[in-house]
Amino acid sequence: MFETFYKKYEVLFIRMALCAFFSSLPFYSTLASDNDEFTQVRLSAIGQEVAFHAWGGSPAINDYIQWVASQVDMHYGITLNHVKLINTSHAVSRILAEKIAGRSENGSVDLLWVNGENFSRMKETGLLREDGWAYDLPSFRYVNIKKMPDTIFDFGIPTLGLESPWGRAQFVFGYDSHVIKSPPDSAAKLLNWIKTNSGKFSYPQPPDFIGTSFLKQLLLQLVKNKEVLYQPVSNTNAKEILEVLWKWLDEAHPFFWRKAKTFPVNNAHMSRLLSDKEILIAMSFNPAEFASAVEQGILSSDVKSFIFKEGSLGNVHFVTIPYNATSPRAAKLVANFLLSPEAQLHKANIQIWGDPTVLDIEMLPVKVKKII
Amino acid sequence: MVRYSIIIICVLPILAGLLSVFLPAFGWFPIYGKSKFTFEILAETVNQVGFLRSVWLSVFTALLSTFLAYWLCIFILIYNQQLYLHNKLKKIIAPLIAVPHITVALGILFLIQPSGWLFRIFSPWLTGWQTPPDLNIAPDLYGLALIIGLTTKELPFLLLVGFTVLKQVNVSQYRQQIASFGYGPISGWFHIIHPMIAARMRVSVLIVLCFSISVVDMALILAPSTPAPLAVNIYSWYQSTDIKSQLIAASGAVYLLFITLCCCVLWITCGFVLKIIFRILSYRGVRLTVRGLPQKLIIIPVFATIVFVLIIGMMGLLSAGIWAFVEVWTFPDMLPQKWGFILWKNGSFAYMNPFINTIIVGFITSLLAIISAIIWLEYPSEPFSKVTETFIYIPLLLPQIGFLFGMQILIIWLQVDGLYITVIWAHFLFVFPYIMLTLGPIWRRFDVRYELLGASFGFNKFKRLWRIKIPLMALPIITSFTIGFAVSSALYLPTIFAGNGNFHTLTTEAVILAANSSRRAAGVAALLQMILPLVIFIIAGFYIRFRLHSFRYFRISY
Repeated sequence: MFETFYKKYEVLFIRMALCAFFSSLPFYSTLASDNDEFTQVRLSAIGQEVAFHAWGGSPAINDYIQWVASQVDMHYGITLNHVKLINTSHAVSRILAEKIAGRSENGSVDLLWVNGENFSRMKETGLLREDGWAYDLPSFRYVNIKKMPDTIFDFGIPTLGLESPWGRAQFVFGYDSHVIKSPPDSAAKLLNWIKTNSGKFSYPQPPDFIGTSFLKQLLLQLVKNKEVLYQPVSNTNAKEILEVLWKWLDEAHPFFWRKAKTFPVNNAHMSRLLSDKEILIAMSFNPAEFASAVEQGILSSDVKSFIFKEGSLGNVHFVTIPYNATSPRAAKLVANFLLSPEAQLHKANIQIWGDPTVLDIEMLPVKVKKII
Repeated sequence: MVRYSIIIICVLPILAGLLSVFLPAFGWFPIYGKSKFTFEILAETVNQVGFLRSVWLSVFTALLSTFLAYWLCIFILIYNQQLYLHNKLKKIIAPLIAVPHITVALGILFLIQPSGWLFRIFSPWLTGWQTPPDLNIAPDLYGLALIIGLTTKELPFLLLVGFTVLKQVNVSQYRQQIASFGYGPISGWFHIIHPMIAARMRVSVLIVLCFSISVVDMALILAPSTPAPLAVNIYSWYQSTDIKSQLIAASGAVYLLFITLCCCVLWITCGFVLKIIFRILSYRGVRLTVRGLPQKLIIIPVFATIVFVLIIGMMGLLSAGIWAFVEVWTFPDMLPQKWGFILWKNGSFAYMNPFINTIIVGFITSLLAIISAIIWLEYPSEPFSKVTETFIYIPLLLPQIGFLFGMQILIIWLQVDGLYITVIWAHFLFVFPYIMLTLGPIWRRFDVRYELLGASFGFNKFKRLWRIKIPLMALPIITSFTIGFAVSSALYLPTIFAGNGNFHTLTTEAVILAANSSRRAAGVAALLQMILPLVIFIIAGFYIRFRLHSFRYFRISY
């Protein structure tokens, strides 16, 4: 659903982002001021520090967070520290350790970038701030929860306002266009391609996030009756539904890179294999990843990206505030800024990060539309 | 008093760490709503897919790599004197000891994988490959790449220990006697010298063995993943998001500990059997002396392996160094198509703070550990010293991520998280055992006569230590200091766990950089990690030379 939306408006997105970038119109500042309660929050958060724990493996994302830091410093007087993680579970286990040690305030994490799995574990263990703060953010008004329900459901779990949507990921493939003339853009075509090009395909070994996402993408394609995939597992006959996936994998695995005896460890490993031409197709959850890797010279300029024709797996990623955050108010302000049209459009720029927005363009204020 | 505080400083976090592994393994984790002691989780862990195979893989790779590293080291020691290997090898092994395991692993991976440097050198002119072949090497199915990696990293460490041990035993004197009894250099070594060397090297070898079983970072890169070695599995269970996996990870750690114990027992038993065999042979007067061709048949493959291992190590480091200055380098070119400094341009100043942190923490931790080790060794009369001494090695044996979780709870409970001193404390736990390991055996065999001489001058205990023992021990002290520094600067998880993620060292920066997909970033990371320990090694080398110069008329036997 979204990818068509995104594709259709891609040019528009970039133009908007560029506008936002080059124009010095501080249109978002009007957003915060018309909410009295939030003005209070703003005043009380001046001078506070926010420890933002977020995966730090991508220079583009790190630079974007630095930009956010400079913005919140300018507008709110908040100091944002990006604590770079290589695995979100490290931050989760830190918060858990704090809970066990009985530290219910002054925690070390103020804001955390999470995926659905970590979110559900934190929710179960009571590690999150439970006042539904995300719905109260002024920027949340541009989120269209009817049109895009995935902004309030994280991997099927209702967020209940415990986390605020930040960006949209889309499952894309990267391929070596020098060798592959027409990319295999469906599960069946991919299977054929793998069989004729033995040893040139693989995916990161689950439980790696990209690896499991690839399997989900495949399942989404292979299952005839897609309705069942949106039901709770207990209501369905999982074994029967998954049958098609196992069949596909059984057929494809013998023709995999190293005959599927071993798999890439993670996304980074897979990228290296692509740049070494050990494999010819790789995958990512960031639509701009391959373009930016080409730009940085990590991948050769032959690498281009494609998506499955029938649609590709989408996923919203979120930021959340732990129950014992030291400066929750300032963290809310940062979350609000991350969701503001200015920050969202800057993020959507392929030159910056290329992460599509979670906002509904139609709902943006007239002022912003005028700029567009 | 001081000794007790060392014990508390060391043992307290270790106990916390052990509890955080053992309690969940037996099903006790109240925050997850589990508070009943059961054996179910231990049983369930065994039923995980591929569990036995991963155990086998762990045991096989660890035993074989330790075996290789140990015996290659022994053969170098045998021929050390004849071939003047000591000085030549010292230059080669220093960088290999100084760099972290992960750097060596990445270097070796780039060297031997199908699209790696070795294949690039021979392609396409010899092999005809325009694209990399689909060969199942690095990682291979049997863990051979991991064995090569571990051997490459552990051989230099054992050599360093071996060279210091060799100085304690007056080898040249024994050699003459051996020769006069009609033993050849190899058989004579095994009959007479080896028992002495082996006893002194035992703890170091066991540490190498334990480390090889519990290694994660190297195994993630070089070991097969379907299934992976047990330590890697435990690591991914810990990182998994569901609660059950946390419990299974903890019970996996308990199994790992048990397996480690079994391997140690096996190793010691084999050593004992070997000793008995040679004793029997000695009694019967059997001299397994080999000369001429048979001797060459033993020597040539052994030394070929040694050369192979060291070359692989050096080339791996070299390739990491090259990658740091590469812009484009694709298969099958032997050298980069385009050189550049992309990653160095932005943010060379960003490394200043981590650089200073690494130096300060490394220095203070190693210094504290040296002082503690000397105190520990000088006052060894406590009744429970044996027990506590085995205790201090536990941080090296348990999987870090499980162990550190308990320690983190303790640190938070004490409200000292994120402080400089806490990071030093966490590093101390890992540095101290290495320093005890390298300094302990030598210190305990110090020639008592020097001390008696000092006592006859009326020196008190402290003055004897300060004026006589420490100056005479300068060489081993500095060697252990450099090792301590290298260990401290390579620590990743302890740094982020104790430092709340806000404490940056060159290694924390390097790990983040290496998470990026580009090999150039990994190259820069490797250089960053390599540079400081290497500088310390070189400075220490100069200092030792200078120091020994002023003692050149002494006959020091360590």
